Amino acid sequence: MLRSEEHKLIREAARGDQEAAASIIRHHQQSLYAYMLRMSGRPDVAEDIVQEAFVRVLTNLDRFDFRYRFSTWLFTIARRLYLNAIAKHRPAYDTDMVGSWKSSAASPEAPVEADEQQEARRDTLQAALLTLPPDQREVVILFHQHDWPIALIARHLDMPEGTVKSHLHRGRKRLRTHIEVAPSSGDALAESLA
Amino acid sequence: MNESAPNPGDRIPPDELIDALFDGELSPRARREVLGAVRHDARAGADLERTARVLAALRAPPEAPDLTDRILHSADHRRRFVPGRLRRMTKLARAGVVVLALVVMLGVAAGRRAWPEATTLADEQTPLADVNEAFRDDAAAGVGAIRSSVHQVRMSFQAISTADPCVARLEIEAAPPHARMLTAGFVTNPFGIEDERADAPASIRCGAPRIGAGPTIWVGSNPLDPARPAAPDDTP
Repeated sequence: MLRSEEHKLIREAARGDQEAAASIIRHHQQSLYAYMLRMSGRPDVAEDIVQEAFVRVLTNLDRFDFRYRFSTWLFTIARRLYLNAIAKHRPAYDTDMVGSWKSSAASPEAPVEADEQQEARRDTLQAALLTLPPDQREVVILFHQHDWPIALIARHLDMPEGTVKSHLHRGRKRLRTHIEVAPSSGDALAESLA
Repeated sequence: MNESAPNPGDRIPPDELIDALFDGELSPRARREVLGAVRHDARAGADLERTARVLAALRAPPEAPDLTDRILHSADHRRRFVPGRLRRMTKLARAGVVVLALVVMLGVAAGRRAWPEATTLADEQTPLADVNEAFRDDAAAGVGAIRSSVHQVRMSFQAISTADPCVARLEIEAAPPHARMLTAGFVTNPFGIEDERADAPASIRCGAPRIGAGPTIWVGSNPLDPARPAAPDDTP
């Protein structure tokens, strides 16, 4: 979506146009959900945060600063909600996340074997991500999943660009190490991605 | 862009170069050289490939549920969205209000030009200005009255100290009431001469003789015999 087109939709949604608001949601919900799912490891948490973040954004559209990217604003709000949720439910979010993830992606027609492979691959990746400290995980997700530039990540996380790079390098190294020490899952990942 | 790169086969690229490769900070040439160097080391190549595959898997977006309706429903509870038809009507209504306001403004302007006296209000003093002015007038009048009283008192003292007390008495009595009040203490008994008849008029008391003061000129009644009129040659 072009930025000018997005700005037009934002203005219309701010004036109460429900269709414009729906267009904005449909355009951004996938990436925001992926971000929250990778961060939390729990689909239910990701859904709740995505919903609440969008509701907050839509009810405050008149405050949006058009100098910045809408996605940055949306992600910032979602991130705050996520941090608040972690603070409230730390034990539940920091543990038991990988096993609780039951993918909703598989269609009923898909072969059971393919479904299991897909789930194993995602579990492995998610497990590797959850071994990272939150800052490293977030930097890796924003950089490699959402293609955010380092400067933007630094502003989003309010940290120097050097620190962002340091988190990125350490995060990649830990991801690689995790998959090395879990050869079966690493092989499964490699096979499934081959 | 980092142009430095090892020669293929010389050595394994350092971690910084691998990181720069994943950060996308290498030029195409440096990138090719790093990848070429990695191929000479099976373990480094495997690490690089594994990392690349993990990151590629990370790019694959997970299936996300469509939350549009839920979000809109929730947002609608907090801030009502307006249907399209109503929104268009609102726009028209706003435009109508603007046009009406413009017509009124133009009408007022035209009316002022055509009948300026009918549309111009006369200058009026503001109440605050009136109050201010009245206060100043009152203050000036008060200062004038006090000044006049002080002047009268000074004159009375001067008369008492320099002239015959009866002359002073006359001057004091000729003074306005407020001046007499100020000098009341002196008027009743200016020289401390006791008089049994405290209720006698001031003019009579004023006629009390002064010892060793020479002939007394009576003014008004004779204090020793009020029935007798005062006379210049009547000495007690």
